Amino acid sequence: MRYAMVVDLDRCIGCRTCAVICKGHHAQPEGIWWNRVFVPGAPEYGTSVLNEEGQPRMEFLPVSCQHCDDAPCQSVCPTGATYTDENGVVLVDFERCIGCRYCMTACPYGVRQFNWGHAEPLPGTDGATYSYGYPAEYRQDGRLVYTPQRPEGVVEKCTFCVQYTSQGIEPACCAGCPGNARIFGDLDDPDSEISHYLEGRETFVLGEEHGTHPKVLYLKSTRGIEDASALLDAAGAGTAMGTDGE
Amino acid sequence: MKKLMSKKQLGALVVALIIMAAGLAAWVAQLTTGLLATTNMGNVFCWGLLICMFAFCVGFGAGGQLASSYIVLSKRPELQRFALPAQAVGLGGAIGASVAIIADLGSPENILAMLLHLNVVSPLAWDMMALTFFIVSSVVGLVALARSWKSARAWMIVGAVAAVVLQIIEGMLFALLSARVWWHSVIVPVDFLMVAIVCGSALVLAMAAVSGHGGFVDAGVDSLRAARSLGKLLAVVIVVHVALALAELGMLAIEGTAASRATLDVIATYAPLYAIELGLPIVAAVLLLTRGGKAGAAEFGAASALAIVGMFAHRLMLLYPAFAAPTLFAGLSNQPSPEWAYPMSTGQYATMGDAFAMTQAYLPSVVEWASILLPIGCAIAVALIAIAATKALAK
Ligand code: SF4
Ligand code: SF4
Repeated sequence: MRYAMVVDLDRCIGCRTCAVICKGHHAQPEGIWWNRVFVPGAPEYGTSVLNEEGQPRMEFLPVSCQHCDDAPCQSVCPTGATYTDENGVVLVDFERCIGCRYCMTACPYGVRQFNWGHAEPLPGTDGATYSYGYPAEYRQDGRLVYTPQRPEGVVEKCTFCVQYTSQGIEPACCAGCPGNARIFGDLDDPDSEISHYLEGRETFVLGEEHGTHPKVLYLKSTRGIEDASALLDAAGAGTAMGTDGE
Repeated sequence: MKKLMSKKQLGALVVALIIMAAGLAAWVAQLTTGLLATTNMGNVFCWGLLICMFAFCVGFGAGGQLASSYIVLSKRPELQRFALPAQAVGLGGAIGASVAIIADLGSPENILAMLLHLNVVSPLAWDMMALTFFIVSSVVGLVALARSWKSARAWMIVGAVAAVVLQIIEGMLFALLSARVWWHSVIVPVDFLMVAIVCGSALVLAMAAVSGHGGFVDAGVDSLRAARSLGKLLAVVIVVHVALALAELGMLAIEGTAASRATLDVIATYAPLYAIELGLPIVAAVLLLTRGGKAGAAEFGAASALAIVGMFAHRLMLLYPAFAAPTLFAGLSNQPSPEWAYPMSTGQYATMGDAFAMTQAYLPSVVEWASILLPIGCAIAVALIAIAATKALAK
């Protein structure tokens, strides 16, 4: 079994549902986000950037733990708190983590989060405490890899929703994505949804230069100026957003 | 005790213990009220002043040992009486570094957890093993010198090897991380060794400079001669260190990646600190090379101080360009575009604060500054006690 996730950038509409649903399902304290979506290069969320020809473009890029096959976070962890399970998922055992933060310095993707303090429960609208997230702790072979009450001084990150996938349920971000931009499954199974989805498609990974061999695979967006021009030409509307200067 | 320590040494020990107590109070405050409330670290800048102090102290540890080994093995008569104090400083530095890392980890229990579940492929595990081996060899070397063992020279070789291994591994702890371009270079471990030699020789030079006044080393007529021969060594090592630092900067500039450009931007932001890191040791080297033959105690003392402050700035600059620069860059997926830095979550539980950031302007908090007094005080106290112990052990 080799779990992986595909993020199809053509389908991502930048709604950030994945980031919010992930935060909610994992009781992530304030300021902690396992999953984030930005437009690279944009000063504000949802604004365009210029490509090398100076034409405006906008592309949303969701980033969470890449579940690297050669995970530097795991090799540097002095206690073995960070480990790869039999499904290829990189996890952190909260009870073994000593909070050295070496893994945070080693991860090129900036996805590891530290519990710098004790997160106070959030007040709900009715004045009572608002509790959220998967309510029970989850252990894998005795190792505590999820608990809604986060211990202070430990590192946490995306687990590919180990508490759900162990029950045959897909990760929350995949279930919640309105554009179906995220596809999860077993790369070793030729009949899995992810294997079918990848057939004949070329993927790319983030931070290839680090040699981490991520298991989050991205499909390039095909949206671009050509498509927009073609659409506008078809509609007889002239040029797109002043990019051609005609 | 009176026989083992001069009044000034005893006074220095009391000051060191007071410093330690102040540092301990700050550390306890960190433990009880949490890092969020007491430090200015965050997910972006996740290693702070205690790690900087760890690297600084470990340099004195290895440097003191290397100085002691050099003195004993070179048999230079004018330097011999500095061997024991240098050895004691080495031990103090290593203990100070251990205290800094334990303090940063939050509790000694975490070290125990590391021992119980040691991941032998982690550079941090190698570092802990190298530090332990170093401390043991340093203690044995101290006893060997104090008791004038026949094998003392052999122990000085063992000590020097332990110091070199420690510094190389220390450098690899940083250099092996491809995520941080500022560290990811073969120069880093070599420069760690150079920095240690600068620290060790600067400290012994300072001892030679004050040996007529401080009572830390028995005064002798040849203390200036000792300072002169050490001064030359210090100047040469500073030149090598600066050359390595500039080579690293040059390599970064040539690299031409988005990550290297972002790191260079951070270096520009912290240019004053970088100028202190390189400028003060250069001034020290120039002083030693031009005035070495005629310099007096004050000039040697000033050169040592400049070199040591420069090395502290160097340890701070180990962190800034590594953590204040982003690590993840992305461009458009389907057409040529620049590579842009990608924000990360700050980890601050601040309702109105930034949830995401590219960089963090880390300024250590007052509690963090106070907490480094713990390893500093500890290093000084251990060095002083070690010097006194050698007197008790002397045949
Ligand atoms: S993305 Fe970072 S945290 Fe996740 S497996 Fe890779 S190195 Fe580890
Ligand atoms: S912070 Fe925890 S998970 Fe990360 S390297 Fe240290 S012990 Fe391992």
